[in-house]
Amino acid sequence: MREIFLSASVPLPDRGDFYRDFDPFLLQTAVRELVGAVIKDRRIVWGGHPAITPMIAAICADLGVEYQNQVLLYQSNWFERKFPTENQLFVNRTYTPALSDLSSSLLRMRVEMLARPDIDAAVFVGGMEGIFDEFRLFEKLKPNATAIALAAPGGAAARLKRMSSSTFVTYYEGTNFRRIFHEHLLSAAPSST
Amino acid sequence: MSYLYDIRVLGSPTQSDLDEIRLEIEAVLQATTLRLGTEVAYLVNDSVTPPTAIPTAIAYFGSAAHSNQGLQPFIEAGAVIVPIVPAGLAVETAIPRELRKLNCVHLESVQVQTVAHAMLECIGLLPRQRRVFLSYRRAEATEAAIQLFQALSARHFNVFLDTHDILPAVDFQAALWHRLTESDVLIMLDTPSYFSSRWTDAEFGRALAKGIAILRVGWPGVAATRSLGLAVELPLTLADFSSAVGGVNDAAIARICAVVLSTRARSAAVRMENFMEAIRHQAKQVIAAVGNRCSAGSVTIKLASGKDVIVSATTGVPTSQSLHDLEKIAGPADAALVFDAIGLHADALLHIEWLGGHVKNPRWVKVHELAWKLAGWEADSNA
Repeated sequence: MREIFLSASVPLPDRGDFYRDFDPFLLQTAVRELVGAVIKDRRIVWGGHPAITPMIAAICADLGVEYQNQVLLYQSNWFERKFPTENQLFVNRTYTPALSDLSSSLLRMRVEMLARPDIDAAVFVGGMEGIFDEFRLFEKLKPNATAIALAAPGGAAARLKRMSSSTFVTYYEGTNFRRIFHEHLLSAAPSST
Repeated sequence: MSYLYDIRVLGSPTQSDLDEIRLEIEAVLQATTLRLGTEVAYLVNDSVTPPTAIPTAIAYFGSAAHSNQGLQPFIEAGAVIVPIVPAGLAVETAIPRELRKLNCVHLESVQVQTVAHAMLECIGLLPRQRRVFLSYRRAEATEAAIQLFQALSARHFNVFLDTHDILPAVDFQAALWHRLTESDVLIMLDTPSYFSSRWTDAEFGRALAKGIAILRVGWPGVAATRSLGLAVELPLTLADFSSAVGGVNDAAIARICAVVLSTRARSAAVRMENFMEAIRHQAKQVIAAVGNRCSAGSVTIKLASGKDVIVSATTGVPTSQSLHDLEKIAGPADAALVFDAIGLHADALLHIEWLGGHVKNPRWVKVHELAWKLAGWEADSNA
């Protein structure tokens, strides 16, 4: 089954620009609408976030037990001593090795996620520098994939347009998220990876 | 230009009132495809353009020198008129006799953005019910909770007080969860021991999954837990507290209320717009076309066979009342109340199923099953 990489996190209050235009309700809505729109036809692959993971778990649980397999949560063993309890809500968890420091451990996790051959699209929303790191890696490893960056919720994803001079990313400024997901993620023909 | 909706301001508004109302209407409409001046007419003190047959809301700003000039055609046409009483004046002084029996907005006690929301509710672009779930720890925030209850009630909100005690956390019972899922906004008074004693991650995740907007009013010195990353933040400082009353001061209450009003309006518009998109997507799968929303918030879906189904969408909890209201609009035509089952309590779903089994038309339909149900209607009409 085709898979979508979700790059989403919550800007922290001490992170200036990323936090200033951050809209928590729109981030909640964007992720919620993504799961609702695609989960029957696509798997979602992502690295989790304590504020977002429980919401995604609840949506899958309410849609039916078969949908709990549709979300694949990756975690780095760098955080082994403090894995958030909300991870237990997910059936499919993959742990990647801890390397010598945080930065290389995260890179290892992201490379492993993006090595999945069935990923042919990504959604970038909210977040801080990690979103930029994931975007750069995604563009490099999946140059033929569909990439969507949502601007309205703010954070780093809202700045991807400035970051990427290519036409690789579809940049959406509105709040009808479900329409964007329908139009760009549920098209009939899979793009070649 | 044929408008779909008509908003008018009559009487004696100040320029500042007009600017604020316009800005607020535009901000809420931002989430929709409707725009002021294009699909939504916006006329100020226009005594020439007659009332039209489209949904119309009129804000009448009263004054000491009020007159009912220009109002009569609208009163006769049955347009919804909201009288606005300026600060410092009484209803009898400011409002023409014919309008005094209507529900007035008193600018003494509410901000003028309330007028914008009232207009949008009158023409059906925002739901009429304004429901919030106010959750707090009894031992830490009772005074503030009561103040907010009163202030929001004065702003025509239906406030449910979720009072949490020192007793061990009890699972959300079905009735309590029901009240939560009926609400547009969950307001948390985040005092030192509030969040972890009231919520599990799983429960809070389900509240987010329902699409409810979360507003965290942070007590001084209380850092938001990581789980609250998706909450709208409203931190309080010591200066916001009034030692005389024991709660927060009036300015802080007004600030909180303003955020509740705008959060509720924007979130209702965004939720509905995404929900309508989900409905359109389902209809497309069975080659059915969705028409424009009509005044009561319903849409007509035309099936491939040409048969019409009247659909009413609710982002909250569908009730027998909403079913009945839909039947009044649809008459004998096929009709469906489409709702989102995610986040609803299992008991609520059982009740919906039970009632659905006893009422043939209109029917309840979960949004993710709509395509399948429409296909069934199509087959029925071909049989």
